[in-house]
Amino acid sequence: MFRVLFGFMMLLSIIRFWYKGWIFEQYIYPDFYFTYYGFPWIKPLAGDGMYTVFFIMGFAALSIMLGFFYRITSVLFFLSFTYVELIDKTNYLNHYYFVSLISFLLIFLPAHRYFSLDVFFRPSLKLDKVSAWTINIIKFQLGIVYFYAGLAKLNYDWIVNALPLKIWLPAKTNVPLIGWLFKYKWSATLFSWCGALYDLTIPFLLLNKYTRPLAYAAVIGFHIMTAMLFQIGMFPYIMILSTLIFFPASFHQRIIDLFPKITTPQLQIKNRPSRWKNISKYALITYISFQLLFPFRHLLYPGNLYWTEQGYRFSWRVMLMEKAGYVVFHVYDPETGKMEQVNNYQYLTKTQEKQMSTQPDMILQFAHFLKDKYQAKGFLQPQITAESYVTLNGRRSKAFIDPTVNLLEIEEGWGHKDWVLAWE
Amino acid sequence: MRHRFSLILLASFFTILVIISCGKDGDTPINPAAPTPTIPTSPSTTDLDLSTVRSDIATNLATGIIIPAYENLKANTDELAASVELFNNNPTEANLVAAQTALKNSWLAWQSASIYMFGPAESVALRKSLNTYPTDVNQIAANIQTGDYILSSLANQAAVGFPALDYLLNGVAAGNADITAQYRSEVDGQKQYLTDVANDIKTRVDQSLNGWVVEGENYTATFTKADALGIDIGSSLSTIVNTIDLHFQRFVRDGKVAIPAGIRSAGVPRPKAIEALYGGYSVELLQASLSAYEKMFLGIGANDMDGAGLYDYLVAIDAADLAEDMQAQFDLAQLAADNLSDPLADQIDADLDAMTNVFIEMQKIVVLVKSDMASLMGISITNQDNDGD
Repeated sequence: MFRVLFGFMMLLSIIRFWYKGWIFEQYIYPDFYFTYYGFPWIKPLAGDGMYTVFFIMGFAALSIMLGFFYRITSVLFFLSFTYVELIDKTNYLNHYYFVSLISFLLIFLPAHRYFSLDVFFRPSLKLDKVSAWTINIIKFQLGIVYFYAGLAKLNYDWIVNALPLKIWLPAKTNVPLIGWLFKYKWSATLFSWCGALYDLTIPFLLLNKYTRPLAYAAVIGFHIMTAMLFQIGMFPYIMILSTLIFFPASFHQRIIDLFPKITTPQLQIKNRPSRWKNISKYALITYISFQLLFPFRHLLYPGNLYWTEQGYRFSWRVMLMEKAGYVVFHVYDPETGKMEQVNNYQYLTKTQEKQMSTQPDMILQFAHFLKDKYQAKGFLQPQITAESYVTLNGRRSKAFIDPTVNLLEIEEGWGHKDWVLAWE
Repeated sequence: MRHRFSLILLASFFTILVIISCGKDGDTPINPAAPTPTIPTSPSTTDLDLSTVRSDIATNLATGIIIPAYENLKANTDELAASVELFNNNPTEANLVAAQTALKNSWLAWQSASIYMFGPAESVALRKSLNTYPTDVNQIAANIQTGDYILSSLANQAAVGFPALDYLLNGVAAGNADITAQYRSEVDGQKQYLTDVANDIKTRVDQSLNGWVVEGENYTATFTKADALGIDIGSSLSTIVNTIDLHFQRFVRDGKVAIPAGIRSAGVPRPKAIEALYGGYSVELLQASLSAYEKMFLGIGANDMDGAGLYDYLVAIDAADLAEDMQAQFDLAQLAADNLSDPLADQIDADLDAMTNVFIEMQKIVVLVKSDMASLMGISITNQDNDGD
């Protein structure tokens, strides 16, 4: 059941993405792509190649939904989706990361061995029982998304100042049903607290069979509300359908039974892990520990996480801050005395510009990209500095990057970025 | 144990629900957040429905500022087309001066209208067709020679609009006597081209105005309808902020100042890239543009009527200090521009620093618009989903 819904939502997402022209806008049009550290070799395909990739992805999503050549198509989906996401971190979204992780997990799950075309064509594949871990790992992943998002909300601005909701919500008075609330100044605090409480508790409430129905009602309410309030695309709907996995097998069986023709004995869950292979156990432990620990890597860096964004991505920090900025690159060549201020929009899309202006690693990447451009323009030994201003949660904008540092002397890496000016 | 914990949570959820329902009829809203000094402090005397403020702004923009700006532009471009016709029929120096004046007045009027490059203006490619400069003298000559041209084509974008008329009326020869003489003796091609360009401008301006007015395509209704009063992509507030962000940077800061000053070309000035190269009133156009932006920001429209503007919205969201700083910054940019003198090409030669100063002040406006203002308003300068920040 999860497989069907997931495939369906992915297909819908891809069609939406295509329809909005984002394939061209994000993966064909730009001159420059902000690659991920360690993955500079991932580049978009030329010409219509990207459309092919999205077509394959859509086909794979459809096949996953139908359970058709599942083993192959799930790998195909994971690879194509993750490939696209790795091209440019401008487009990073937590829920894309979530989709990548889930599709990765799905590769290893026997999700095609029931209620699928694979079983229809090869009945020997059919399996009425699956190991508990195959379901639990998905629950775990969902739980992590919520719980960590909740933990991230436990910061001073969110809890005490009700920021950034205090900025976002008052603008939403025209939203149907709940809009009238946002006239009141306390509504931001109320929503901040409820949001944090919801994220922290929902995985547990979903696990408990007594609270589950109410918790699921909260899931629907919460995500519909966020969908109305914010431009966050498909994420709310993906979560609403994904969390159905918390319901017992009997519940899903009843939904499956709604479809005619396929009559099969009820799916049951084995409680003992199968003795499949030891490797899978260790792989599982590694995966789980990674998921538990990686979001905490920001603790290793000094400074304000929201300001420097060291360890911000891949950590389920969702809708946490209102940040905007503007960065001007100064190119200077001591050899020839040439000086120029860069027109960022000449090389970047609006979205890339916006994302770059507040994220030091992207500022650095762009500076290195500019180096070649300016060497070609006759700057022999270019030095590139960034003059930048950033506003965080509605505070007046402040200088962000040390304007005296030649960014070309700095390499990308995991190290602390001491060229980002201090927050206070 | 877990069961009891869940019960407590549920209980608190219900408590919150009760609070919400109290809020519905309660008239004394509380403000529990203790603002720290760095955060915009709230007067918190009144709770405000911001969509009402946005509605006021959208209405004032459409009916009090934008439509009057296009009406003024239309009056001038009508006059321009008429005076060009008159000059073509009777090429005297007096008629030439009349046409030159009409061009200058149209160009000045354009500075106000040019801010609003969305909706009707966007659909007739108004900016590209009216004000692409530097104009391409060779393309104009080729067009005149062959007599075979489609003014709306991409290839002719730099051969039409005000800059083309600037060349045809001010630049084809040195001095009005020689220009007049040229039109008197000239083959019909040049006259025809002059008329065609003036009429092309007139037609597009007419279409843009018609796009806005109630009797026409009534984009005003689209701009002010309830659906457009949010802050998402496509809302009127988002449209205006995004348009300012884009056009102010590219066509005011860069087009009028940074590019001619050489800030985009390794410090080598490009005095030929200025607006109104032949007419020599570039600084006046720049001043008109900066003034139009400030008025739009303040909500000041035709006849200096002060209505709701972005300034008032900032005040409504407790950011009066930012609103004042922005107004001050618009003033500073104009002060810096007042230090320039026409013709701008000479200014660039003589004192480039004065130019750079204008650029620096304009750059500060960009930061305030793009970063501080857009962020506080919750407007995103983008068109994708976003959950990261």
